[in-house]
Parts: sequence; C-alpha cells; structure tokens
Amino acid sequence: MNEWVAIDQFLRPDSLAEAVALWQESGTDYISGGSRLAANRPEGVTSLISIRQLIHGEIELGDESAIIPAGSSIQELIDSLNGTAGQSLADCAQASCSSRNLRNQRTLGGELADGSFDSDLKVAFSALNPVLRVFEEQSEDVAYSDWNGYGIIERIQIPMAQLASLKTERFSLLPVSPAFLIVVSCDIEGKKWVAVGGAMDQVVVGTIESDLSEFNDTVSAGFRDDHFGSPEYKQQMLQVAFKRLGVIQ
Amino acid sequence: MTTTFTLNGSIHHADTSPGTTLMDYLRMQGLASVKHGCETGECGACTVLVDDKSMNACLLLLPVVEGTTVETVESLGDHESLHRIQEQFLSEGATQCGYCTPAMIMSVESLVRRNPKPSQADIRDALAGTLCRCTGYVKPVIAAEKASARLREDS
Repeated sequence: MNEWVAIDQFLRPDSLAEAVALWQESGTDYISGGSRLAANRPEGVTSLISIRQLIHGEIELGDESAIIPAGSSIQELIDSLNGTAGQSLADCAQASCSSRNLRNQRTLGGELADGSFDSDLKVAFSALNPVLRVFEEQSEDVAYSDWNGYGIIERIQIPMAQLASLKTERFSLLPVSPAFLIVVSCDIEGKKWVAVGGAMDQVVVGTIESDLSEFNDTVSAGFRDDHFGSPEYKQQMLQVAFKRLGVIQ
Repeated sequence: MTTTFTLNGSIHHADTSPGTTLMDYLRMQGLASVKHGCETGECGACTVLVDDKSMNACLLLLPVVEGTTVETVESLGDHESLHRIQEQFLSEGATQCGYCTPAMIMSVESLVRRNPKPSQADIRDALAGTLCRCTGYVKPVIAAEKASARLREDS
C-alpha cells in the first residue's frame, strides 16, 4: 500500500481567502499538482488544501506580455510557448523534467515555490524575474526576487521582450538528465541579467553591469567537488557558458 | 471521503481515506496493470491516463482526480480483441519482462490521441517517463511507430 496515512482531511476551498485562512491552522499544506508533496510527504502535515482549481486557467500570450496562471502544468506551458518568442522558456521547461507524466502533473506555482536549484525552469524564472500576483491577505503584484515565500501565487507575468531574449546553456551527463550547471541570460530594461543554478545550494542571480569577478566568486563558492567534476572544471564550464551567451567576449 | 470519477467508462464513488493514492485504489479494484514500482514518480510503471494525459498514479491522491476520467490499459482491449498498440507491442516483441508494458502502452495511447502522426522524437519523449529495467526501448519505439500508422489507416 502507498497510502499517505497521516492525511485525515482534503479540503477544497471556494476562494483564495478561504484557502489562506485554512492554511493558518497547524498541520496544513497547499496542494496544487501534488507530485512533490506525494513523493516527499513532509512530516506533520495532516490536512491538504487543494488550490489548483483556484489558480488554473488559459495561458495568454499578448503583444506586451505573457500571463501564465500558476496552476498551469509544465506541459501546458511548453504547449503554449512552442513555436513562439518564448521557445527558450519552453525548452527550459522541457529540460527541467524529462518525464512527460511529471510535466503533466507539476504546476508552475509549485516549481516557483519549491523547485530545486537544478530545475532549468526555476533558474530561467530567476533570470526573468517575473511579476507574481500573490494572494496573502489580498492580491498583490510582487517581483519573484522580492517574494517572501508566503501566500498563494495566482499568476506569473513576463514581458514578451524579456521572454524573447532568454538564452540558456546547460551541462549534464546526458541530455535528458538534470544539469549540474545551468546558466541563463536575458535582457531586462537594457541590462543583461544572468542566473546560475544546477548542483548547488542556491540560484545566483546578477547583472553583468555589476562586478563580474565578484559574481564569478559567488557562483564558484557554491560549486561542490562531486561526481560531476571539480569546482575548477565547473568554473571553466561557467566561462564557456558566459562566452556562448555573449556575457563575455 | 468520497471521490467521484469515471474509471474505464464506469462512474466510481470511491469511499476511502483522503491519503489513499489513485494507484492503491486502482489495484484494489483488481486493475493489476497499474504496477506498484517506486512510489516517487521515477519509474512510471503506474502510468494511467487522467483526462487523456499520462500521469503517475502513485503521486496522485485519490481526491485529486475528483470529476476526471481515468483510464488504464484494461480499457483499451482484451484477450479477444487487442487494441492496435497492444497488437504492435506483441508482434514487434516490444515486451520483455512485461512489467513496464502497460505504462508504455498508455503513454503511447496518450500520444496518438493528441498527435496521430508522431515523430520518433515525439515517441521517445512520450516514453521518457517510463523506465524499462530490461533496457529495451528500441522495440517499443518501433511498435509505437507502427501502431500509430495502423491507427491512421483505420481512421
């Protein structure tokens, strides 16, 4: 049997306000796609609050921006962006999870909130720094980099120009396996932003207008000496990625 | 709690504890094609279709499928009348130990419903969520190519 025996309630609130109120009680957690929750089964959780029905809808690609409901699955994002200016983000989404089954189950809100640092999609979102509409006491727009991690992400808004400028380099043992180094760049208001993730403890984000050697040092400090290679090898790969992405000459 | 959904064409009102997974419920219904593999979504042996999309039944709590349509390989064909995909897996020798075969067949079924003329890359992507311990992917890909061609001829 695979039953999650600790769960004694599965709640379906009618509104985000009701969901947030339920979450204040102890032993609760939100469930959207639920694939990570069901696999990891965090201790102490006894009630699940279903929110996907409150944050799911059509992905809108306008001239100015893409508006993506947070309850969209990774596969729905790929299907919407394939063949558009957002192709690079679709490619990141595909690379972040080789299993179509999981791409059908995982939602973008969950990826933003709980995605691992070797998720190409999370690294891409870190570079793009989209505007999140988050419901805590009321709906508020907040940059991803400024989000405190509380509340429910309702939707994700990304300017199309930023989406079109997204470029990625990834290094992995196999094309379909998680990358140990992911480097993403995009242009935001005339500046080139770079995010670096992979087999690290964080995603490092910065602009090349800032001190690049300091950025390099911050990233390199997170490189582990593991089966993927030495920190020095990864530092070389980082420079290769920077050259390919046009971050350095 | 009660979860109502359609399973292989029949309405089910499943009265279970809320932590019951779809995989457990399906196996309790005698649907042994849904294999109990890794329980973490890694192997895909429990693949079923939920509203035409392939998903891992081990990672779906039963209340999550409220109002949906769930299909297992038992809905496709039987010993007397195999589905085209089952026929091709058989004739191509695309099963080895057979453990992952129902999952592969459902993944291919989901693929051909949304894309009647899949490329080999499409087929490999559709099958990527299902691990074969016998390391046999070439024949399932060929079987899927031939099955999709046969299904196009039929339609």
